[in-house]
Amino acid sequence: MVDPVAIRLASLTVSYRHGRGVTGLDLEMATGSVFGFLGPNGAGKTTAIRTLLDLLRPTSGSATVLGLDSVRDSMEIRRRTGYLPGDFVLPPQLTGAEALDWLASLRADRSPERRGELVERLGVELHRPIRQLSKGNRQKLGLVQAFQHDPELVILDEPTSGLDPLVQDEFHRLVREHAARGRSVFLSSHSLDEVQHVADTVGIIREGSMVAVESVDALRARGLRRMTIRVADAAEAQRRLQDLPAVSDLRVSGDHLDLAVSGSFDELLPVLADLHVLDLLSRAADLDEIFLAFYRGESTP
Amino acid sequence: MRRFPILSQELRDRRRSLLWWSVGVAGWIIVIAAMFPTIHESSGIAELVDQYPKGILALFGVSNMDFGSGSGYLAGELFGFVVPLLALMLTMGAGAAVVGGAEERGLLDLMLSHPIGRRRVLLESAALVAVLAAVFGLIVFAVLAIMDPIFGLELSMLNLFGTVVGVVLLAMVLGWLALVIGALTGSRGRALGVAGAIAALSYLLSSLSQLVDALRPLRLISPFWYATSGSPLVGGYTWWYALVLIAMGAAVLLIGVILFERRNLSS
Repeated sequence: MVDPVAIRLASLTVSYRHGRGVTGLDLEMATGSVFGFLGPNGAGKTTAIRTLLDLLRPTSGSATVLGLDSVRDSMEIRRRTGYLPGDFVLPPQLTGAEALDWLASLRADRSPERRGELVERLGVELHRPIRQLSKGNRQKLGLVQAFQHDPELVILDEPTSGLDPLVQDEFHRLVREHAARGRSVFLSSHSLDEVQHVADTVGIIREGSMVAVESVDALRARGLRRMTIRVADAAEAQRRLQDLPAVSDLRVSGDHLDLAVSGSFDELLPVLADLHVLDLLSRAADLDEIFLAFYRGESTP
Repeated sequence: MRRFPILSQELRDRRRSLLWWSVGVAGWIIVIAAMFPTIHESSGIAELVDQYPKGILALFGVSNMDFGSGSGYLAGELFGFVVPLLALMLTMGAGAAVVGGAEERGLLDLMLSHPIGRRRVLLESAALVAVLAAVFGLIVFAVLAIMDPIFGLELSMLNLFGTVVGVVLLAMVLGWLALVIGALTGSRGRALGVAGAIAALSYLLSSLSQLVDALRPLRLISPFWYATSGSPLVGGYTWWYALVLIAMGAAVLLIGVILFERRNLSS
């Protein structure tokens, strides 16, 4: 039976020397979904991910992967997952093919056809020593080794770093197909823009704590909009707009006001009508801006 | 799954450097052995050596220096210092690199995200160190066995074998020590530094304990003592010392496995 939850973190706290810890992380990721784990560098993404694979041990709380405990059942977890480390390296003296063989030799199950397909789709260089490969070409090898045994769950730490845009698109298709077959993909990123194309759900982590977990659709539906208005009296406009509950992130430059609006415009429009608006531009905020709103702690979830 | 994925990959990676290392070691031994007839015939050198203070000789692993016989000559020239040193360079270098070095280079994360246990990684690495030590011992034994009739060394093959066993086990124990320190610190440099310091100390303990009475009891904790003391090439190896060395190695590995299983790896 397939566990409906692919990853569950329950009050997970990991603190260790030299490392950026996480505190009291709670998270649930549905099987068959793509989860985007977002946060800036140093927020604790890698710490949480490495705990899933038993490279780090929970100080308190627990991490459950595919219904299995991250410490006690680690071997079984690692058998059924694929992992791309954030700082992906391979032995430089091996060729790509040798490195993939070596990693496959650490597993019981291998599928040469599957590897062949991945190698072709991503355009992987197999026959040159790894030390001669660019960052992007190494990263492609990393993707192949994470997917080559067709695991139930793929965990990818900053998977697209170094990839050129065409390969990124192919990678996104790969991730979607994987999820479409009922398998799960957990990927971290510091760019929401990138994740919103592939993820169903986004979790935002900041300074070791979860800020929010929401579906990408809900994030968009929250209706955060970005508005730029030009008015005759910017100071007056700022004074009247800044106290409205729907308005956040208000910035003034000259006669322009730049603001984020969430929810309804009902309170905003009468105020604008009074203000002698010269020009008005409103557009849907992209997730980066929603994300930034979370970061400033100015959003009301 | 390959039967020993870590061991076989490491051996494959090292086959070329191991080959050249072996050629070098064999060459060195042949040169030393080839000098024996000359030194044997010129009594002056033996007298010269006799005049050295005993302390200096002991420091270089030479006790009962006796150039009159092939075994005495080789015990001083090879087995007192150079052969153990070469063996330790090989096993400690590999031991420090295989887990500590892998963690330092960021490879250990990837390796351990596969379904292979930490204990397995450590024990296969220990097997690598043991294999390297054994290959080294085999080369030393084979080269000397071949040189023996050519240069009139008149070695006892049993004593030669015992001497080599001592060196192999010594190299294995200290190689395992470097392996374990590397696995616990995640640093190849620290592994080499700490294990190297322990090796140097235990060498001094073993050799100086013959001169300084206050140090005598301490020789019993030195792996060198159980490998090289009393010129085994001349007087024969004390076979039960091999068991002590194996026990020391097993203790190091056991502690290593227990602590390695529990630690947080650095990324």
